[in-house]
Amino acid sequence: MPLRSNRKNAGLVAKISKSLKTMKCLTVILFAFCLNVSAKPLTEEITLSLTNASLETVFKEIQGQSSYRFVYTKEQLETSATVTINVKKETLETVLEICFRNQPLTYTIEDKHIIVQVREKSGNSRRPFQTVTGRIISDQGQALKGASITVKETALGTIANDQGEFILEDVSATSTLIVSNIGYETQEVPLRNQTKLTVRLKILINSLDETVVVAYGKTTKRLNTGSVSKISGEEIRKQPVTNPISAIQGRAAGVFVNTQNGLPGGNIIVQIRGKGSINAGTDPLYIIDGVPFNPTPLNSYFIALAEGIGGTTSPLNSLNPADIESIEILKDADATAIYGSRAANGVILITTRKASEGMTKLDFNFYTGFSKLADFPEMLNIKQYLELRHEGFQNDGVTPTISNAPDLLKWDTTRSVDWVKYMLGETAVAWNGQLGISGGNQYTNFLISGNYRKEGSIIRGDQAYKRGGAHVLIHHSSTDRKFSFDLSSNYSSDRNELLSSSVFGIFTLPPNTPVYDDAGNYNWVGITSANPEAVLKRKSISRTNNLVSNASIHYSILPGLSFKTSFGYTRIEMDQVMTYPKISFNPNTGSSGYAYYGDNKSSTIIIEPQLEYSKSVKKSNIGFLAGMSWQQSVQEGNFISGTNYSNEDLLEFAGAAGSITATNMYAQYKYASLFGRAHYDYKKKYILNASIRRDGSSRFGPGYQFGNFGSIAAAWIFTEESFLKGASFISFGKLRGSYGLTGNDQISDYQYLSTYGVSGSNYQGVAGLAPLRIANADFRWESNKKMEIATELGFFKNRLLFTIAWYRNRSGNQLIEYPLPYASGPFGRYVANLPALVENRGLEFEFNSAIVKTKSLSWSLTGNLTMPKNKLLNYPGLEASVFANTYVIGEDLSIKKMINFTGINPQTGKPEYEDVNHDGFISTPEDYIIAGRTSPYYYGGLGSSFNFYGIQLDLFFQFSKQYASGTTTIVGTRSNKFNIALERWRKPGDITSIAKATVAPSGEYFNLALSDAAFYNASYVRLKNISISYSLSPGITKKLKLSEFRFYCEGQNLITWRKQANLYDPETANTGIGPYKTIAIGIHLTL
Amino acid sequence: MKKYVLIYILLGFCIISCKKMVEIGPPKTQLTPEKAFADDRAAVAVISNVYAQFNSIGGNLTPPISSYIDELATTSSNPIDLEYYNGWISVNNNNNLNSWRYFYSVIYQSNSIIDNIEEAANVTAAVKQQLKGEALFLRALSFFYLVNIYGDVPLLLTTDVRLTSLASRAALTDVYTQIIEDLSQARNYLVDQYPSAGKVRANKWAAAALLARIYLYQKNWAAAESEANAVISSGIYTPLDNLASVFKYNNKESILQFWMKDGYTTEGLLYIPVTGSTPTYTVAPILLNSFEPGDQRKQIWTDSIVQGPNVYYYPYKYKNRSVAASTAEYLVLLRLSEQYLIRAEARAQQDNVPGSKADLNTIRNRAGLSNTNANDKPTLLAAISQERRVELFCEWGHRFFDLKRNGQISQVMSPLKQAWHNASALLPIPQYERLNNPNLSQNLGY
Repeated sequence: MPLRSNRKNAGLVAKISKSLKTMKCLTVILFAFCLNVSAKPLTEEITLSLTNASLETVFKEIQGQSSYRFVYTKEQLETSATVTINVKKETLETVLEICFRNQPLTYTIEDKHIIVQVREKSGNSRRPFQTVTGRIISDQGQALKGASITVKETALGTIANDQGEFILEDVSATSTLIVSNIGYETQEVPLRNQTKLTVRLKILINSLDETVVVAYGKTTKRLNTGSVSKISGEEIRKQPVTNPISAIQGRAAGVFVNTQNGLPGGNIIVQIRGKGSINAGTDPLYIIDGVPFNPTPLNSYFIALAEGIGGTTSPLNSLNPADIESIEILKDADATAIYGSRAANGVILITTRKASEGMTKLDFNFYTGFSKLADFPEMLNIKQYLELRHEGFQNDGVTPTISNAPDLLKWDTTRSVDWVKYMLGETAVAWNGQLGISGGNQYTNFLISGNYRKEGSIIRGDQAYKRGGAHVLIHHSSTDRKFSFDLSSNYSSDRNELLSSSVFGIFTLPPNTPVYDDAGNYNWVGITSANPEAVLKRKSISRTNNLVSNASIHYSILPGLSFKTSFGYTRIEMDQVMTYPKISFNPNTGSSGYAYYGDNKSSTIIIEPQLEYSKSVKKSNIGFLAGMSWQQSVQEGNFISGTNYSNEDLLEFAGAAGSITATNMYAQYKYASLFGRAHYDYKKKYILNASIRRDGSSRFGPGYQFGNFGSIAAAWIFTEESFLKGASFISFGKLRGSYGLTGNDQISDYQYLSTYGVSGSNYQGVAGLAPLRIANADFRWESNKKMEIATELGFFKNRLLFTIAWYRNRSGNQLIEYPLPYASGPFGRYVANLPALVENRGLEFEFNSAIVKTKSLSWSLTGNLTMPKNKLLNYPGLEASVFANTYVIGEDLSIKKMINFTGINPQTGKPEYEDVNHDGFISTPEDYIIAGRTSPYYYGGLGSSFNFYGIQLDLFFQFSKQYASGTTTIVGTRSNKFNIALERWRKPGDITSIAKATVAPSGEYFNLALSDAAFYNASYVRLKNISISYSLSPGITKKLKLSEFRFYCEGQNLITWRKQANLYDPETANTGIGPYKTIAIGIHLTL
Repeated sequence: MKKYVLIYILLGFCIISCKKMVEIGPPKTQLTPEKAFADDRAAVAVISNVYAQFNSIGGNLTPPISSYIDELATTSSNPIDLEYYNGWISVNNNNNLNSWRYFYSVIYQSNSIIDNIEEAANVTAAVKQQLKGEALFLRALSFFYLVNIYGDVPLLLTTDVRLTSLASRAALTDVYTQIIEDLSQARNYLVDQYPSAGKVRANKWAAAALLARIYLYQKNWAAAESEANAVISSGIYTPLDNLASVFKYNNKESILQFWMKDGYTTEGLLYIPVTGSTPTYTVAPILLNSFEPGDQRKQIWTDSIVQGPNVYYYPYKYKNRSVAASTAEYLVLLRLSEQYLIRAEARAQQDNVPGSKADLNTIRNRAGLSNTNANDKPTLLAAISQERRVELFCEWGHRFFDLKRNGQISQVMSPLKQAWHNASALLPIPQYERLNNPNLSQNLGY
């Protein structure tokens, strides 16, 4: 090769450099592909000793000692400076570095050619900018499409294409690339002037370096100083559920999820680390893509609207589980204190799926599911029931007559209906489909998906649940990557048909109760609540529209300093019609049909500007975040009840009512805050984190609106210490602790104002005005001090990760809706601070183990266990307070005080109780003892995930040890019983816990319901989820021109193990319909 | 530096405007107390709300209490109803809690009106006086029922929860002293005329009529006679109507009725069965048998329905059970017949036998019965007691209270109800109240 440049070569160089500069990525990717992709390190050794030599001389010397050739033009060298160099057996790289130092030139290496180029801008001569191309592959050599490449400490970044290749422009030659991909270990690659590189990522055995979303940012499990549990979208999507919140049950330590009602839309309560408030709200703060989301059921604004079979409706139900990327649960002070006054009950961050660049992709997922009630109670059959009744009459010496015993004398005694199965025994068939399209380039990309779900009902009759929604994401960034814009929007609309009244009363009807009388009309004899068929005429239709949207802009002001602001808007509307036609009532008690109409909405606007700064100085990394937040929420509701319809076919329309009563509700909530966070770490070994927040809330009266909150946390990754580095038994060890102050403002709005409002009453045409509350202007934040100490350990190269956390939260200055005797007014409560202190402490264990992880076979186990303890530590004046008969110092807040049932007298068969105060009477509350607590003793989950050549099998068990109040065990009256009635006392000498049958219970029987005889072990273990799927191998999918093709079969709540008790379902106890069990089969394909 | 400038701007902005950023006005749908009592019309809306509750109060109280004693039987299988009928009410009985709650709700709202009305600048003096009188009347009325159902009850004359939530039970005599004081004041504040159309808000005579009843219960015979006399001789309520129209809207003898939006009462709805069905409450045979032969009240105020071999009798004082096609019915609280019976009893106790007989005969004659045979104090008192039973049956617990004040309750009830016990004369204090007020004691035996 000629040493001097020739025209041909110069032309080629010019062309290459021009195309690099001006042509678009596609060309560049093609170009990069043509070249040999693996750049060999410049390790050839050079020895040189030159003083003030021209650059051309130096090039010649180097070419003499190495296999590399320089490519340059004379014109380029005209501006070059002389070089003084003295090196012995240095690598070519170092030599070149010295030669090009302080030169107006730079170079790139292609194959064996060192191509000399004019440096773009002399201003930044010490940090040349260049275009970097490369390829990301797995350690098994597969291209990793979608891997993320970002330039450390800048906003620059891109995503690898389908061949794993990427191109980054204008990158400083000395910067470091961070390469990450889901399922692989993140790697940092210093550029050191390289412009072409191949990065091999190691398969991630564990989740230590996985991204974890935290308050106003992201981190990894490795570096996190706080307590955060993550549930991935993948885990959620394996569960065929309507409400995404039910998919997190049992999957995170410290998070107790309780279904209040299993019907579509039913409310689900989440309690993080126990109940800290005596009776202020204990809902966690929900944040969806940065926007706070109010979990308060919209149909709870007016009590009547929640009296249907479904109870209150969870607004979270309108989120599509398939659109969720991850749910992070923030638990300790470090993770939550930056949310200040709303963080006392923990924070749930819901992140929806993001757009990604790359080829335009079409994603389709469809499943069909079959659901039944998960757990049916065992009731007496007709034979057992009749025997019980006859026994009751005999015991009491009463003669059955037509009027007191129609079940024995009038009705068909061969008919046996299990009314629970009758009412709730249907199979609900669901269809669920999702279609998404995504694509774009590195600057602008998008994701749009739509979903639709139709679900039948387990309830007798034909009800349906339908939900449709759309999820839109747009990302755009300027070509210099300094400015970016993101928009995410989730919209859903559902229609839920249910019954407008509860059916619990029907479950205990005698098994032979006729539904129709002889004349073919509804039978009402012996039916107190509702006729099993007539009740089906009471319809509830609710429609919910929900929009959660967030727009954010991000601007890099300087390297390390960026400004971000987000604007969020949520609006949820619920329209309800509940009809109660005349025909559905006992004609003796109802005079006219009636209907309720509800129209409730809630909207929130939030603006959060933030400044973020980060810098690495030597071995230290520092970071600051400062921001402010302003939020306004408005809740509005209208409730109309109508009666006297001219034609009951028009019950759904208020206009057809002869008379209507309307009430309205309006509440405004404003919230303003200032917050900041500082982070410091030394060598990623010692980490400190501190956050602070000042909050103002309109829920408090003048003078009490503002409060300060904050936290401090530290972590020590002791396996980074030299004495443990390279230790074989332990691969990761972190000790962390945090302490901080958070608050709770979950009370209703305007409690400091005494007001009058429309009561809905009408007297002589005058709309009545009633006092609405007992006001108290002097209440303030409830404060919650959180402390946590935890250790996170990794063993066997992090194949086994184990976390133990100990926490102690103390809530003081209890903000309560103080229950009042009704003698004090019709409200039954008022808001005040209480000098009580509630402690929640507990131990949490989480483990995650990758037992086998190879390309074709993997098996992992995960599990968690929480052992919570709740205690009322202190309550000055408890004895004289309204809570004197509810709480006991040193005991759990959920204790049940009940009479001590000492058993059934073996001689008389009657229940006996302990006369605690020895006054000769069994009276309440004087003879109360603490029967137990309803909060769980321990709970958790255990999961297994197995994959063998594309066949994936997942199992998940969830369990809870807990107790609950159930129904009374008075047996013999005209109502059916759970089959534990078979254990009743029958003859003198019987030792049992069920009293003898009676048809006219006296006082000692009534006390059964007030005694611990009605307190049951409601512990259970559920096979929460089982999922089997099969993905076609990449070879086959490629032939089908698909990138993924997967079949799956999923089961939810398939088996429940529990103790028999007077409970319909251990989870919902007797307050709501239990959860479903579901089997679903589906298909997922990606084009 | 640029970044600090930005931070300072942000900080400054926030500190200046933080207060403003969390300021909100009162809720649009609600009124502050000043606005609630802004003028006459507004203030009337506040008291109207109290009156509007009495349909529920009556419907919740009368049927179960009547089945608790010897007036009604029930065919209901609802445990709450059966507890009344069986004569043992559990401390958790929801109906019992509601009774308590409704009366105290009236007391709370009355107290709130009494507290606020004085300071309402734009309410005219006449309306102020009227509303104060009505509020005192309603408060006294509620306390009357509370003491007669529960015995000693907390005497709450303020809306201050710090006091009311921990109040213990006041002695019966103290409550009665307050009732009499309230009614005497109300009688002075109120005038002859009813403040609105019909007889649906209290006037002076409503206060006097209730006062007459209280004095009777207190055995202050002279005062009872004098108040009843004043009501009767006011001339507004005489002569008595025919039996069929006693419960109609705006009838002559009514002293206070509660307005019913749809022209029927909860009781009418509950008692009257639709064709082909069994009534929820039936008239107890013992009551049916206590009507003298020829008593038209049995024909007009009860009715029956035949179901196969069974005949069910049900109370039929209120004859409407749906939107009235004919004459509307209002729920009657006070009527002149009771005043005649009060005066008759007071006169008999004061040995005014002829006066007593005359009053008793007024009631008997209207029912188509001949003059009484009773001729001396003991026989007259017995006759009056019997007359009260058949005249006032199934009205606001009259019979229950009469049995108690005459000391006959155990003797009458024990043979009738298996579960009847010595303490049954007083209903239990609701458990909910006791859980939320540690100073509230329970009645003996519960």
